[in-house]
Amino acid sequence: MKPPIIFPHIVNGKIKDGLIYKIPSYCQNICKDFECHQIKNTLSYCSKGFGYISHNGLLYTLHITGLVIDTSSSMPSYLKKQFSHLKISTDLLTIWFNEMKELERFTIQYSEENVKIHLNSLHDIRHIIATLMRTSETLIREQPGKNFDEKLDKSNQHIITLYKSSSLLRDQIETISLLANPHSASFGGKNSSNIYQLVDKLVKMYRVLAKDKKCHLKLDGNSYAQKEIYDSFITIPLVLIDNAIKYSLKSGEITITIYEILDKIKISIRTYSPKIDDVDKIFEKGYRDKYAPNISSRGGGLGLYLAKIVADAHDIKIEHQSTSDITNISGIPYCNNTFSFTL
Amino acid sequence: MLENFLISSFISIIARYIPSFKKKETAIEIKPISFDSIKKIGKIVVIDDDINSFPINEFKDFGYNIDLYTQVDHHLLKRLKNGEYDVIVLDINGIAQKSISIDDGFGILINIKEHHPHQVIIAFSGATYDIEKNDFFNKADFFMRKPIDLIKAEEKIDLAMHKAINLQYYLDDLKYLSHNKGFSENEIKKITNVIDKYTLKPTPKSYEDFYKHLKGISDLTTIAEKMKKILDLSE
Repeated sequence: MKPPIIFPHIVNGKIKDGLIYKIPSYCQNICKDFECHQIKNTLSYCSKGFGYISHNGLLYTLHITGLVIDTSSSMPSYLKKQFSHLKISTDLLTIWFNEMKELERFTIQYSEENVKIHLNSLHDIRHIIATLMRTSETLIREQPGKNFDEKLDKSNQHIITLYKSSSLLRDQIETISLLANPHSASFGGKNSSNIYQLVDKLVKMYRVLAKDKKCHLKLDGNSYAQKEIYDSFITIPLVLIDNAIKYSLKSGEITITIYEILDKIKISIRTYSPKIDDVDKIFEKGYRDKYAPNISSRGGGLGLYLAKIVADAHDIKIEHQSTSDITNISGIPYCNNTFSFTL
Repeated sequence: MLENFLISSFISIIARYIPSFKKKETAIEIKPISFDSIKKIGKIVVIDDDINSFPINEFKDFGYNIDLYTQVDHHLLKRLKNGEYDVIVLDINGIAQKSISIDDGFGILINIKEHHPHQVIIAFSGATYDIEKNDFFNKADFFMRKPIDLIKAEEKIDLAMHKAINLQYYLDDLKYLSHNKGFSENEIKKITNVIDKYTLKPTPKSYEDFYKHLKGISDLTTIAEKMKKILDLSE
């Protein structure tokens, strides 16, 4: 949203008229010094006595210039007379800046409330997912077995799919919360978890989805180690596996490897997918790499951004490597891409 | 070599009779009890206006003592503050009238924690997107996202129960509350001594001795009763 700037101001190195006060013709036609292009947080004057000031607000950064201030002592009297119609007081300037700050606060608050309204509607979706979970758990309880895990194993494929899909849906919705509130990545404190078991459960859930693309998910390696992690940790492997399935060549193999190195656990996800054009940018919010839209229209460039938020909360770095042997398939360069991180 | 053996044996015999050399038995070191036993004595309450959000029936099937309330009234609030439940699973919205808490679930959490900081509370909500609710999640001991599946719920509840149901935790709680109730340092020391005697030899007499030092204050007697349950199981 463009802010209502009533004074002349600088945009991309050029002076523009304000909504009420125009650029003094001296500044536009005669001035060659451009002193007013300096950033000054307090009202300053150029050698001809025209005022200029920068505003670094919550939302906008503005450079106001070409001001004819009534109390300016450095402006020659002939210029004061020539531009008397543009004269303003410092009080007006102060009032305007205060109003701009209020506008920014209001805009941010309005935006946050709007986001909250939309996110609150997730409440109904969560309720539906809860109903699906309770229903599938009830069906599972009816199966033979000493405990829930045994009963789950003995359930038919449809019940297992219902149960696992509802859990996956819940985890996917959680990424929205992370987007709105990155701090939630560290809620609940860290608890000791068996990382291999966690990833194993996720892989089993995603095998159901990978079937649609005829992709094969393979879990290699082993680890018995426990690590202290936040609840949000699951987002990292979830995003990496979800991306691997999304961008993998049809009928391709996706290999997830977990192994221990001394007291650390390394997890990597390898897939045959489009070569990444700009590795530095793929963790940026909203960025989709060059070939991504060709493979999948699904995706807002948020997955890796969210995975990085959670990785940062755990002090983890997600790394990427790709092989140099590239094959061109339907005009898209494919290679082996591996995302990995160490706990 | 024989000489060294004789000297060290002599020293160890003598050491048994010198008080400063006697190994002080730690009162809290008792035979560990199984988690099944912890489940039997532990009490959990879920407070949520959506009865579908937590797998209550499955937990009851698994042998947990678990209650569900959709609203907190004055009577329940008193019970929560008294430590009747070992673990409280608390929703943030729609569980308390303004007369009970102006801040709904968050107000209930603060109220309980101010009175009883050792009370184990699990924040249970899907509102993790709301920055204004960060305090609710940060001030609780654990947190569960809604909707919760059975396996995750069980993992979290078990973690919370391990924290809440153990003698050392009860002892710390007792000391804190005694201090808050105006017990003097001497009185607290006496209580600790009778607890030591009780946990070393948990008899009806030593329990009675311990109990009477608590002056009938319900917060403290609730903890005493919980300690008795653990010690009864560990025999």
